[in-house]
Amino acid sequence: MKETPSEELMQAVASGDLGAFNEIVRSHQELAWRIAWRFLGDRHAAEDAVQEAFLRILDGAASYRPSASFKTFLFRVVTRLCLDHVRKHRPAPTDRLPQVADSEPDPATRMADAECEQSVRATLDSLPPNQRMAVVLRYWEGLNCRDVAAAMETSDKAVERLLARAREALQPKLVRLIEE
Amino acid sequence: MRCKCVTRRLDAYATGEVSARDRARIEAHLDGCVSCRRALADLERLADLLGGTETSPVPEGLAERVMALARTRAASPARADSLWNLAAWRQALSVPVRAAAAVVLVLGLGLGILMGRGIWQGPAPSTAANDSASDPLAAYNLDYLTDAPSGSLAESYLSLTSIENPRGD
Repeated sequence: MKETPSEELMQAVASGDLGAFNEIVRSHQELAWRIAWRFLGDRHAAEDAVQEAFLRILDGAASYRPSASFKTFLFRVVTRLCLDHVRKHRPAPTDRLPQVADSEPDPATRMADAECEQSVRATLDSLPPNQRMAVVLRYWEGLNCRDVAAAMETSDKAVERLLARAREALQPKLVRLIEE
Repeated sequence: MRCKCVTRRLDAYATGEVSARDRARIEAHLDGCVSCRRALADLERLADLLGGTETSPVPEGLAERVMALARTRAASPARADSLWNLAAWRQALSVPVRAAAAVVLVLGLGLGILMGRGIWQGPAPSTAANDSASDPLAAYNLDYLTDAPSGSLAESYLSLTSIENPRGD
């Protein structure tokens, strides 16, 4: 069955069609969740952010213009909410304790997936919010620099700088994992 | 191209977003720079490492909770926190009402400006400046203070302000 493009669904949402909005939510909740959870590192905060994102999309449906892809619009809303969240709140404890950061694993020992994720989480949390968001969008969502810039409402050059600085910070901390 | 410039552009290079000219310059630099080649390899491994980690699954019932909130929002009239939501106001008000509101706004602003100019333009300062040497009470329209009770603080104040200072300050 052919799926209705999200841009068309948004036009229906603008006229008050909650059925169309339901379809939007179900199609895109995973994407919104991935970004929020990966960035915030806390399930409750991430769920709040995702709920708020969709409600803002519902509120702003009348001003949505289909010339911009819906996905870009969604990225922008979620990104803005996540960045606003960290500006307003102190960093919340992450779901998994970053114990591995202080350990010295045996170079010959292959790090378990859970420990690898803990390292990644801890290192990601150490980045400034804008760098962290650029990393999430670029390396987890696979966006190119132009799309990251659109989501973060900044320039391509600013994104390149953010990613370069983030890599400088990430690579020394994750070097053992990278070289395995 | 210098190493700093190349390393900054590595993400854009890896995603094919650089111009043909820049691509040629970056590749020429990479051919001769071990450090930048290593940086590119590290970038690719970092992308693989990060992209390979698992994501927490979507909470069960998330879509239902969002829809429940959406239905509540759709059922209630304009909420307090949407007071500043211009799109909501635009939707709620018809064109004639919006036009009338605009006219009222313009008239109100105009009236406010006229009133403000009337208040701002107080007594001509030149009159006071010219007469301050002779009688400050009359010059600054302080005549109502001349009836201060005898022995009062106001009388003392007036007497002080009426005394000419020999130094002229």
